[in-house]
Amino acid sequence: MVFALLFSGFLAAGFAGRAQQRSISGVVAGEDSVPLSGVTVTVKGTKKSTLTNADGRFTITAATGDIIHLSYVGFTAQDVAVGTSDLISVRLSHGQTGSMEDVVIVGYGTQKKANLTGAVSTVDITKTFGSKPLTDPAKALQGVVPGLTIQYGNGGLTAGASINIRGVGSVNGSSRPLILVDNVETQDLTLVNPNDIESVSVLKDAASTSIYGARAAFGVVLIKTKSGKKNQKMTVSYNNNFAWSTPTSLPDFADPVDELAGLNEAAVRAVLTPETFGMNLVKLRDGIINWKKNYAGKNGLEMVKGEDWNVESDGRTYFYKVWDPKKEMLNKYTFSQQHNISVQGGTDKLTYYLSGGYSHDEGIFKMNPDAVSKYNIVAGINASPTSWLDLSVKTMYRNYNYDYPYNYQDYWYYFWRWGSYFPYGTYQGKYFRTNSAYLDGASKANANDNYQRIDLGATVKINPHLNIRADYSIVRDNVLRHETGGPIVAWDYWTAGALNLVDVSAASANQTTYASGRLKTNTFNTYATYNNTFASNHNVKLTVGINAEDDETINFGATKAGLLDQTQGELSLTSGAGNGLVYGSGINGFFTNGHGKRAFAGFFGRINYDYKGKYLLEFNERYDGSSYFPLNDRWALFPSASAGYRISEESFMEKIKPVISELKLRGSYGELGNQDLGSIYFLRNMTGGTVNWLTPTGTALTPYISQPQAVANSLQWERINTLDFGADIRFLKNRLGLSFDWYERNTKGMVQATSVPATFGIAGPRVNAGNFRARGYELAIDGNFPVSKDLNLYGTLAFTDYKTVFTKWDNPSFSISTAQNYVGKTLGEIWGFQTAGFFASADDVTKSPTQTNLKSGNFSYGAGDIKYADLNGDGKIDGGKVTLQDHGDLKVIGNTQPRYQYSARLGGTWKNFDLDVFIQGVGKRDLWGVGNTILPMYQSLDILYANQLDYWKPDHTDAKYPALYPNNQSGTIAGISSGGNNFYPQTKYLLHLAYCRLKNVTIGYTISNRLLSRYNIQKFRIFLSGQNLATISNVGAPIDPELVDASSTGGFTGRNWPFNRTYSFGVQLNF
Amino acid sequence: MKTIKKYIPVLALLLVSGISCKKYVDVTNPDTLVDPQYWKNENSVRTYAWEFYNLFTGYGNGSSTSGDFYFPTLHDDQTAATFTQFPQTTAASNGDWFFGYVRKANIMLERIDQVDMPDEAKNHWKGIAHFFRALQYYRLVQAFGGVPFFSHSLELSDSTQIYKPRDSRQLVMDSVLSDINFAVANLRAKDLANTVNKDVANALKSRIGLYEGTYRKYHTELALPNADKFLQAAMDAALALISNPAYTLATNYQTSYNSDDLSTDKEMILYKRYETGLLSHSLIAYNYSSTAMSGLSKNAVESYLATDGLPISLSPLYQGDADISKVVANRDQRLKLTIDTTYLYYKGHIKNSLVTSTGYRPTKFLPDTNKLKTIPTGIGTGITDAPLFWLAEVYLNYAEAAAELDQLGKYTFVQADLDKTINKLRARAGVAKMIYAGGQNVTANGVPYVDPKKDADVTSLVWEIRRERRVELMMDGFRFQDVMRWKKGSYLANSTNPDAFLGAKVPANGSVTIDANGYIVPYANQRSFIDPKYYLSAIPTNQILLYPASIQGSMQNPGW
Repeated sequence: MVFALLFSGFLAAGFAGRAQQRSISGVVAGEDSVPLSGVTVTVKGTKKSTLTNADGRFTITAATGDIIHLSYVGFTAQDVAVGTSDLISVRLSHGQTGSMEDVVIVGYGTQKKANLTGAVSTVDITKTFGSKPLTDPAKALQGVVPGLTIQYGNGGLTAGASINIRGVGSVNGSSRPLILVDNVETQDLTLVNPNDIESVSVLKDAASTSIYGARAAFGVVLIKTKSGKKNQKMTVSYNNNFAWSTPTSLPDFADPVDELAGLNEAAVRAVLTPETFGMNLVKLRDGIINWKKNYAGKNGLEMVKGEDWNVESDGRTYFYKVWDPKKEMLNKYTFSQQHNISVQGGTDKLTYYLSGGYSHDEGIFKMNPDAVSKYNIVAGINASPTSWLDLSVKTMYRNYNYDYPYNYQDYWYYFWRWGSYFPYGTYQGKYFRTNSAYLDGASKANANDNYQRIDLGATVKINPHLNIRADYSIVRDNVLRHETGGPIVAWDYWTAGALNLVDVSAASANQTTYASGRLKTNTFNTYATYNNTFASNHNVKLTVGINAEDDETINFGATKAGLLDQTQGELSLTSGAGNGLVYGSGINGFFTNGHGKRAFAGFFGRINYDYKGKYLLEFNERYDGSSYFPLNDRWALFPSASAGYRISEESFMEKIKPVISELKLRGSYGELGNQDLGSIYFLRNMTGGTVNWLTPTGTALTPYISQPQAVANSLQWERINTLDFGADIRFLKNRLGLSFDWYERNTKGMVQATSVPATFGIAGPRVNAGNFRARGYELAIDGNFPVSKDLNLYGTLAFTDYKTVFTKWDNPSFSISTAQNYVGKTLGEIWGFQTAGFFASADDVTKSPTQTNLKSGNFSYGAGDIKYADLNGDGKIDGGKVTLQDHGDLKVIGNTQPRYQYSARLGGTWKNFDLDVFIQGVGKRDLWGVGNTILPMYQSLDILYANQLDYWKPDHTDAKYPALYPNNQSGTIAGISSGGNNFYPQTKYLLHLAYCRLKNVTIGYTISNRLLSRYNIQKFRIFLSGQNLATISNVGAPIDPELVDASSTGGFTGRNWPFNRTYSFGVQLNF
Repeated sequence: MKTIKKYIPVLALLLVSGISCKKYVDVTNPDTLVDPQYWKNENSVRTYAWEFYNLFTGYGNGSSTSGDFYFPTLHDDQTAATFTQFPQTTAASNGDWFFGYVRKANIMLERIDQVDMPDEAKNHWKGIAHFFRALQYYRLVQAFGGVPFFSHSLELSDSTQIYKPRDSRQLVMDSVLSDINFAVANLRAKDLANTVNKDVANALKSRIGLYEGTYRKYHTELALPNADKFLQAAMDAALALISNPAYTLATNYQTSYNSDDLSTDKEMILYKRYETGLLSHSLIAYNYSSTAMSGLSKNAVESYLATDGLPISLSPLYQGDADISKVVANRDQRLKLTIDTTYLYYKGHIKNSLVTSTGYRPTKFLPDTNKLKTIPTGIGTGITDAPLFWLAEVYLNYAEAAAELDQLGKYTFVQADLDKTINKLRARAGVAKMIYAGGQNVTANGVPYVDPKKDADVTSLVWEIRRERRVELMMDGFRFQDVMRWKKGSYLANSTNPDAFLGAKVPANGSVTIDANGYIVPYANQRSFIDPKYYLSAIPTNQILLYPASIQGSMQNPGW
């Protein structure tokens, strides 16, 4: 309603005074002089609109000084001012992504692409964000920009992106780039509605980012949201998207008859009681065979005693019915939808942009599925009350609502933990003690977040060469979370004796929690820009300014035990003892509290100089301060410089201009400070805790304050130096472009704890001690090929690779333990054994290098077990001292860092059809995955999946997996990744996360303007879009190659939200 | 010009914001406490000091089995459920090599003077810091001998201090004595209920004095001086408590160990309180569950006197050990309150699924049968309070220190020394008095005697005082260090103390191994004592490696 009022207000504003109108006619053709029909011709600031006919001709009424706007799919829109002539002839050129005339947003300003000297990439907004069933801009950006690595560890609705530019920049902190939305730090990109994004610039080298100082050490992503354009007719756009998602890859449950045979085999081998939950495995298996013969398909969800299950003579409850757990627990498809509407336009003095977005996504669980709803609103007005002043106000609001079932247990962990014979059904209407019971009985928990932001800005044009911009933003992000547990009444078959209908929830679940978080951020920027040309060839641009930001977070949560009614989870409606809450934990209730403040500030300056647009120079400097450092080390100066040489502007290049239209070489060097150390290490912090001692009144554990942490005399910024060389070349009249960057980034003085003897009395303080170096390159190619009047093709290719190696680290013993680094270590390396194969026989074990040092528990190596290679030839397999000098038979078997990341986009338009295909991939990446989903029976006698039935047997020796044996979590070699017995980290079972993915395909059809113009519709496009449609990978386990997040319980790989394949359709409407 | 004027406010704003910028980043997290600003008032000092109380293990915490009582496994009172050997190799790390509370105490000492509180409070809290620094160093010396002593907190720049070699045992223990003397002199007579005060400091002083005095006296190979100084300190401190009417012996021996509330027990100087849901232990659980218990050894059971005050080998009242009822007949009441007097629990002879290594089931820490019906017995649910410093130990410290000083010629032992200490314990245990016959000899029941089992190098007086200490403090966690300071490592080896590796006399049942005389042999393992190696633990090798190579060689203890 408010919207409607606002809109009508702006509509009215659109009608201002009119000059003398007359009829203007014209002809529109393409670059090849072929007339273009169906080109939309509008007079800016009016409702007047027409289309060109088959000969490319049009007639429209306009007055002198009006702007005629010509737009056509696949071509760059063009504005033509109406002069004295009544005839207009226009050539439209094909839309180009890499045109050197494009203006790129850089730090505190803009720069013509031609004049860029740093490593800056831009994003094609329409192709990246348009028509995709994605509400998180980071998802759409994945793979688009070479050097910008975006990873998701799982496919859940709330999964957050890991974003890095040129890889991990420090072992401390998150190495995230500084993400600025309209100059305000916005680390969570999901705050932004992709539909509101106008441009994205990715600043990669130090020269481009140093103007942002400390938080920009690992690059900057600049996002600008849309605003209205001057003298633009009001446009109303509406688009929507309806999408259905299904998991890309899920393990398959095995036939329990085969599975239980395997479990029993392993139990016998390990001399364990062959049972699970007291069910004897052999008896259980016989029962299931019997069920399959007599009762399969007979009963439904309600399980019939004596058929589907029974309490047998041994007093234990047995379950025979074989279920399809995925069908019982998961939805085949989940649905999501989004709707966006925006109004924009502008007059000479006033422009406006209003938009509203709504999206709703649902999770995959059948019972109490989680769901995210988002509302985004952006409203911005720019006014130019006088010729020397521009004022702007913009507000962004986002409401995020996440509903999810109360977390009684790690649902994914337990979903994958047990076989398909576990009871998914009910008895007398009540579930058994399984995931089903907890999920079905859970009440909905909720997290609701309101993000609100107001930006105020003013630009003062002091004279044609000098202007001053000042802006201030206030951000408020308030979240309230409410979770209520309560009893879950289900059949408990876990203990011997009679089956009991009892509350199977943990005592600690009988509680309700309210937790709130409040974030307040103030950002202030002011800078002056001076721009002038001297002696007609010397162009100078000078920018100086100040940036200041402070924020404050307050978190408060309270938990009260003893719910009176599960459906009314309010703190006041509990019976938990009323003797007050204690901090941190407590049986009757407790509270949590946190209060943080940070502040950053910097003075910055930049000089751009170019001679005839040929020789380009840029200097940046920032004097930066951060509250993360001790008073005497709080401020530091970070300089950078870059230079470019546009060879193509030289006269000797004139002749080959038709072939090479642009050739630029550039180089940059700069230093930045990293302040993201993961924690504050310079303060002599004293933390709280409780003693194992009761207060004199005996009512609580005594709280204490610890001794202060030790602090070194000096703790400084980690210093990040980047050297970058690049080249930009454009061929064939801009149709083909190539951009290449090589860089070396040295991270110096990485903060590391000193190793002091225990006599010091506390952990050694942090000092600036370690260095590492990343070297890499980026390549981007783009092309545009107008084939004919109706057919236009385009394509892009991006490729990037880097490697990070430690050049200094305080590890005198050269320990290769996963927790350690050493000089020469490649970041991400995985140490393990070389797998030699399976032992053929007991005799083979005796004759092979001895592995007795490796076995744990009752295990001993025999036929069908893994034979590790004796790499150092000493006749025994071990890890030596787990140091670089003596690592026994261990070697580097892989690396967790992604290598050879690439993407390709191919597309085009044909008549009214458009097609865009986006492929994205990683060439090499490894993971030592643990847990039963990856390694059969890694943990106890739990489950065997269908693919894991391929295990070694005397008559099946070319199996994938070794002879079965339960419990392989821990090995005997301290410091290497988890796994023991047959499953030490090793080459054979290393996961390969390389993939090539058909990330998106979008097909659109724009309905001819002729049909629509009578309804005042400028554009009507319908589209189909698919996400993650196909994947080429060979992970080595039935999981998605991007699913690297382990379960929160047990840390098991693969037991998390699956990645999805999504099919969607929608419409785009412009009025 | 006109335009310029227009922008003066804007330029001024730029300038002003620039100047204020530098201060702008000087913020900290409001929820963070930072040293030295933290030190504001007595409450901040008290809160800081509470952490020291983690040094009081008592019966342990939660499901932990690292309590002081019952759980230690390397001594001759119990044969542990699973055989415990001395470490065979030099460990890379060792949690006992811990100096956190030393630094904590030093920082506290360095800050107290800046705190706004009266001198009386300052003195008290300095006393607390000295008390806990003494306690931490006492424990370090017990484990490792001489260790680096720090009287101030270190900074990273103090590399000569950080990497300084070990100080001598003499220096460290002299410092400990001076710390505890400071505590005694400055601590409040009474602070909050059940907290460290002057009396607790005296109790610790008597414990430390006796320990170091006897250690110096018996470990002659170390040629340490001033044993008498420590023994005198032990006597003085103990006497202050013995003559304090606020403390009296409880009527029943067992109440110190099995009460769920020790707050009104006048024998307690400091105890550890346990309450359901807040802090609990597992001591009862391990004496009340099917987990095999560490039973009392034959040697320990036989050390209890007969009621006539004579050792069993001399007493006409002793009925032999054919069965459990004979074992306990006419014996020291404390034996009957320490083990189950009705049944021997061992493999093949299990009742209520309870089993022990030796047959002698520890019951000392169990509330009586009626109470057990209502108090929790599960793992991590025990709520009986644990004694930390109590009168019985102080009595024993006094008597032993007096006897040793007498030997050194620095004191003349008299009957009254026994009557105000050990004979009070004996009276409570229903055992005849010990009578001092002069010349370090004793009589009981009018009979002068020498225990045939007595070590030749120990006088009868000292032997009987040590026996008294052993039976009174059975399973209380003192035994290992007592054996160490007496230099009696031989007690812990099969060859020299075979009875410590035997259990009760039982009929053969096929499930349990018995020796030729019918005594349970809990395990076949042999333990020998390497002298002097096992008198001290090894310095963890990971720590030695952090030192300059030049001093690494001298850091390890002998034999390791």
